[in-house]
Amino acid sequence: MTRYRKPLTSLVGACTTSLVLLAIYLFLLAPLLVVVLMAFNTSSYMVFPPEGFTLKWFVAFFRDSMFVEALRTSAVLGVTSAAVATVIGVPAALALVRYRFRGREFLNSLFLAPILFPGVVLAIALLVYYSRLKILGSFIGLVLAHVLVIVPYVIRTVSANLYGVDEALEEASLNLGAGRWRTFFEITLPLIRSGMVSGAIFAFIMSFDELVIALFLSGARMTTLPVRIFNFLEYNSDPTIAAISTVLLCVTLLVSVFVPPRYLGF
Amino acid sequence: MEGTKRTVFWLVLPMLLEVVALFVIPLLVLFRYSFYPFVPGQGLVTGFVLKNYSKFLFDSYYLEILVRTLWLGFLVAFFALLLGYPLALFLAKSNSRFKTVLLILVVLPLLSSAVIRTYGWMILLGTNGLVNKLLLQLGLVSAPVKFMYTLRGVVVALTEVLLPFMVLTLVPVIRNIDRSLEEAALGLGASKLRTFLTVVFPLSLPGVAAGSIFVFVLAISSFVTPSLMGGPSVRVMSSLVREQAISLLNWPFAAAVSLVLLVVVTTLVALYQRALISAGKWEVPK
Repeated sequence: MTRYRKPLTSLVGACTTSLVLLAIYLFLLAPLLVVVLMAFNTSSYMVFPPEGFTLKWFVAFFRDSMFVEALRTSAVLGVTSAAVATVIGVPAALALVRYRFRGREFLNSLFLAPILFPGVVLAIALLVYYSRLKILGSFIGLVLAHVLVIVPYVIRTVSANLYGVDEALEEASLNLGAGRWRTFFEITLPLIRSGMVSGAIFAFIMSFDELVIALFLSGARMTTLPVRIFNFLEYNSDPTIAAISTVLLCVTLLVSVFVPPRYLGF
Repeated sequence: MEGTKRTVFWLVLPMLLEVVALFVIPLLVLFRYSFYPFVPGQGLVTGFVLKNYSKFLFDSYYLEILVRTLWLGFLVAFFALLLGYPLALFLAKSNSRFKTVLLILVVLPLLSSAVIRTYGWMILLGTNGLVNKLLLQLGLVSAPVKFMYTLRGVVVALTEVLLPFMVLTLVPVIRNIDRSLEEAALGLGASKLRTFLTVVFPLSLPGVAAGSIFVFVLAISSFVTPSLMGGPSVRVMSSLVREQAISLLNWPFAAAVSLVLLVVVTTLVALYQRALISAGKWEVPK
């Protein structure tokens, strides 16, 4: 009997599984899909199915100098912070992976700590601190704050890459008489390029999307795009925001295409 | 040996300076600030008072915010586990050709800003939103459900925002479970369900603990979603900090509130790391 019943139950089982998974994926992706649909929809209210196709909300965005200025600030901030984070993070990862020294584990947890740290606590701490140093609302202050929270991503991806690289290659280079610097630039650096690029891209995305710290630290003179969107959304809602969000989403997706899947994670 | 020490010193120095100057010192300043008195309109007044903490701990309004924040964290962790576990189980066990794509679809939302995803939920969950329209048409409710500015709405949106973290914590733990144990149970005649309940699920419990604590911590410290979906009617710790610091300019009290949050979070993170160690996933790199 069971021999005959089994295929049917397993078919029902497979269908249920697929439906459950589909529902979970729908839940996970619905908000992003709806924002993109809204951005191209003629109606200013969310109607489903969409009424018609338009680009007017994108035009409205690019006509709004405040939003365009915020986009520019976010892009410059993201690139600068990611560059600084890479320059600081790569040597740190090199030391943590390639050398044995006292306090190594402590430094490792200290350097990665900002990832799990509540953003709002860091934001208020930096607000108080910057106002004492009189650098509140400055670009350099925002860069340094973002560097702190994005370096862990650089350290993590570069470390993962370094663990996969055979140390013998570096040793061979040293034994053959190349100096430490030459070994670093000609052997280590080319070998960890993919980890470095992925780390830098992650760092850029994290800075580009970061809200809480920028909200506390940026003044009226300088605002990032997420902060501008947040402030707007607190009191209004308008498909222009959907268009901006879609632009933001596209920037993120475009750059993350260059990250190999094995580095994707959190 | 001396050479190595010097190399390490120069390699870690920039990062060490960054962390000390922008993390350690600001936190110490914040700690000191939380004991300053607050005199409206007078800017910085130095002194040492415990008033900021006692104000928080002995006022039911603020305690209610703390309790609400923890309750929110609990609900979000619960629902994220409920939805995340089946997905993680599938991703860890499946041999599907589309597995990589399906995994990337889980990570994808993480790469987009929480502001955008919360905005998506604001569109979906409005009184005339798609979700309410569906619920009404299916006859599941007779009047639109209020999601905006309610805890319910915050829970829905925040669960979605944090779901990837749950899945990404669970997948490696489930994948590391020895397949032969499962095969043994099946070979000895246990049904698939029984094998899951008595073998796979118990072995994945450390991952369940780690994922739940992780999501709980992220939920109680989250700012964007509770602020936008909840507004002033669903105050949580992080939005209280912002209100006190930015709108009311009471920095000492904001400092005290944020440090209360930090103590809760730090305790839980310690638990999280213990759970991960027993799950065998988290090791100090050697």
